[in-house]
Amino acid sequence: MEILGTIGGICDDTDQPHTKQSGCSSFEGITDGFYFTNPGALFDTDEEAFNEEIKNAVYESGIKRVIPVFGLTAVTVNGGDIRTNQEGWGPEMPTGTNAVREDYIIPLGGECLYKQVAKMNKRSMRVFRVDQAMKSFGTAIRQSDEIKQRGFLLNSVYVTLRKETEGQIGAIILSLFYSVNYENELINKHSVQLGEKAEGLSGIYLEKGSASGKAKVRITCSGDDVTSVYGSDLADRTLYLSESGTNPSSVEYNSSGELTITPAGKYRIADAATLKNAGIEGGYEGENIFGDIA
Amino acid sequence: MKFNIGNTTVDFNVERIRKEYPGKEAFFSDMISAHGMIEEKDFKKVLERVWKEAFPKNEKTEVNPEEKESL
Repeated sequence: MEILGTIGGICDDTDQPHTKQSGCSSFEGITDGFYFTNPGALFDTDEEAFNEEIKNAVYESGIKRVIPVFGLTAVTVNGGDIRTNQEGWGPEMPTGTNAVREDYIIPLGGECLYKQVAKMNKRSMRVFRVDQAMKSFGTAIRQSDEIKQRGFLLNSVYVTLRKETEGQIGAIILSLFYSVNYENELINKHSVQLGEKAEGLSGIYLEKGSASGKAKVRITCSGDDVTSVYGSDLADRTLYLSESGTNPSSVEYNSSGELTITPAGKYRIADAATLKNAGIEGGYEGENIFGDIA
Repeated sequence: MKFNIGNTTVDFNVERIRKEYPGKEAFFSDMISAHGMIEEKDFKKVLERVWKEAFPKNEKTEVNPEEKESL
């Protein structure tokens, strides 16, 4: 009797492991910080290009925005264990690994940083881990004919706050919940040497000053007044937007340390890129809050 | 348009001024009352320049080429 038909093999024997051990092997080091990105954000794999992209992406709006968080001091890893199945008296059969969760401790930044990073709670994001040797670790992906990189996919991020006790300092606990695809992402891990750390932004808003039409620029969390720090650079109509999205007719900065904005009304401060272009260095971004200065 | 007048810096939004002010007097009056700390004589000179930028003299007489064709 003739036998017809074949069952395709599932083992890919063309993908041979090449295992020569280099005399200069290295592993990802202790994590010092993160660059969080939107899930769809892709970056160049080239070192110089990636460094430039990251530096600028802190000020970008939308999908390209990168959120840096540094100053980690401890981590607890859960998950990543091999899942097995055993049928009867048969051997254990590995079926994959279970999902990974990492809990990082951030002792600096206090309540102000907590308020900001807590905005990421329950969000799905991607993360580039940055180790103490300033190497970033993400995952490479082929897109059309190009190889790009992106952060590891997180199903969610969750941030909690630990208050001080007699025996323990207060801290922010940043928990990363990796996706089920993490194991595959690790196989395509990509590392880039970073030049310098890109710092995160501070939120700022307009507060009514001594009279109608007068305003001060304050840092959201601390309430610190930075109007006189940037002085005449703040006298720039493009930095203020009304609820209808228009810039005011005029903006004045004078030695009293206040701005005068006409017409008096409700305004918010512009995004990070606009502020940077206007010479407001230091990493600020207008909160989505319309300060009533009428 | 940005001006430094003594210790004061003022930036004007010419486009908005063009849209919102029907006449020079209303513009001058609003600006002088809002920016009260600036010495009025110097400020008026600045406001004149802003007004001229917003409403150049030939703008009202110049006919849009497309409109000219349809005339």
